[in-house]
Amino acid sequence: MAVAKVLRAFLEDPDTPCYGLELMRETGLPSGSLYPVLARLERAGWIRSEREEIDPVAEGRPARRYYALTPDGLVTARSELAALSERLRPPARAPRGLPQPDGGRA
Amino acid sequence: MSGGIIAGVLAGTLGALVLGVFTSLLTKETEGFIDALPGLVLRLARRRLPADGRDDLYDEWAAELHIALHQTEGRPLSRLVLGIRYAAGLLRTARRIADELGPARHSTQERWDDHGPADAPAGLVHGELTADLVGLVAPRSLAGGPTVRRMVLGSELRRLRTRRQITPDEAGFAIRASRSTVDRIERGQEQLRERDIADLLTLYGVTDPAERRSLLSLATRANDPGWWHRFDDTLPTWSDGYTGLEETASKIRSYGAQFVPALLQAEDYARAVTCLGHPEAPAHEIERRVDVRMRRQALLHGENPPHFWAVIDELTLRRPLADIPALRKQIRHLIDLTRLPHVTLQILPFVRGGLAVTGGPFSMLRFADPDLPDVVHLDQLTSALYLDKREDVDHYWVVMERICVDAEPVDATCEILCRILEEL
Repeated sequence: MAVAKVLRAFLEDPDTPCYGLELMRETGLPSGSLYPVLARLERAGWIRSEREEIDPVAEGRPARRYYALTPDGLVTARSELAALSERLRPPARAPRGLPQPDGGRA
Repeated sequence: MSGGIIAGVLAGTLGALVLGVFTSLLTKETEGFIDALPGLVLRLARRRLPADGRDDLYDEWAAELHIALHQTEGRPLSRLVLGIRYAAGLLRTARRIADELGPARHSTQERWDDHGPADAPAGLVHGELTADLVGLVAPRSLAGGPTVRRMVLGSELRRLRTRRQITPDEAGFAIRASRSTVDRIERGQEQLRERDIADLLTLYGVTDPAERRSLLSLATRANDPGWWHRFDDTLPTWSDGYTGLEETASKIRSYGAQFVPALLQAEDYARAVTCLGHPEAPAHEIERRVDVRMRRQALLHGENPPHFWAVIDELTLRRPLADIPALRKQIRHLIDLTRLPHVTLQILPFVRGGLAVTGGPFSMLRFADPDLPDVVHLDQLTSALYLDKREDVDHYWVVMERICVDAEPVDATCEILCRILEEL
């Protein structure tokens, strides 16, 4: 569930964009798992990325790429995770699609 | 003797110095080598990328590797391990990353702030998180946009104006403004002056003092801060809520618990709900309210109806508010309504939906105009609450999606309704 882990990390603090290495630390995912997920989410429009606007010479380091949830991605991610944790829970008393118990008369 | 000692000490110091310099040089050398190694692996990863977009990805990774090597505490060896692991992972998956990303990422990207409201993300993540939640809409809200009060007042004014078949130009003339000002007022995007509103109401033939007062008080309070907007205290007795907002909406999603949503109520059922809400009211007032509600439903049968998507709690459909015949009529009315192409109805069985009971019934309104935020409307017996703050709206979206997931699928609705009808 690498995708879920990444989404959860984004939802921890939806307003702060983060770069890949930060996400690796937060999710515990190795680079080989994280970046394909980021690429997939970005293509699907859930997250977007932006190159940091700095002068690399002045800063003494190359510009980073920051990722953040899109407004749509934020909410979709929340509901997806809610649905996901629901599915992973042990089944409720009555499974889906069954008729109501016998006492269900008005 | 002493000369020998001095010479020895000198030689020793010199030796130590040379050794120190040497080891330091050696460390620097190995350190440089150690730091270069992950970079080398990363360059190999770069070569696996397709030429198009190669540099973009490589730059990103190089920047991250730079952080890993320079900003992490730790001895050279642990840095080496970290760097190699980082780069090796990318070497392994470089091609997959490029595939996943596709040609999508444009080098001339829009700034984040420009990111306009979009429809729900199109390509959902394949496989891992299934997209069976119907993503009809994703939330939309604007910081500092029009407040609900202004939107409500604006949409009421539009309703009154079109009812009288007055053009925006004529309305603008009456308040010494342009038609675009009138348009902005009606969309809730203009600061409101009481005098303008009063003039507009006169033009629109609103002479009833109570009605004028209620709309004017809305204008004076339109810029009040506050995360919710309650309307009960200004509502004229004959009204059925500020339905202008509803008429402006392009999509309405509604969760009906306790009552069937107002737009779907059959006449007898509506009468029962009204009696519950106004037990003291005389019969003629009840009738007037029911009449207003019935006329409000014309929205679903007119031109350009909004897409109305409702989930109704099964319990609601089994509890007669007045008598069983009224409830039966109501359920048959629902069955008829499901035939409308723009009405979607799901039933939430009472064996599920723990989340749904944490709040009462509510509706969410989405407007065709992308500048207008989504609005949450909490239906209550005698009043209405509107929420337009992003956090609230987001929260209600999540709840609404969950309710839709918990509810029975749309194509089961008719069957369930028929079954309830039989069992009543």
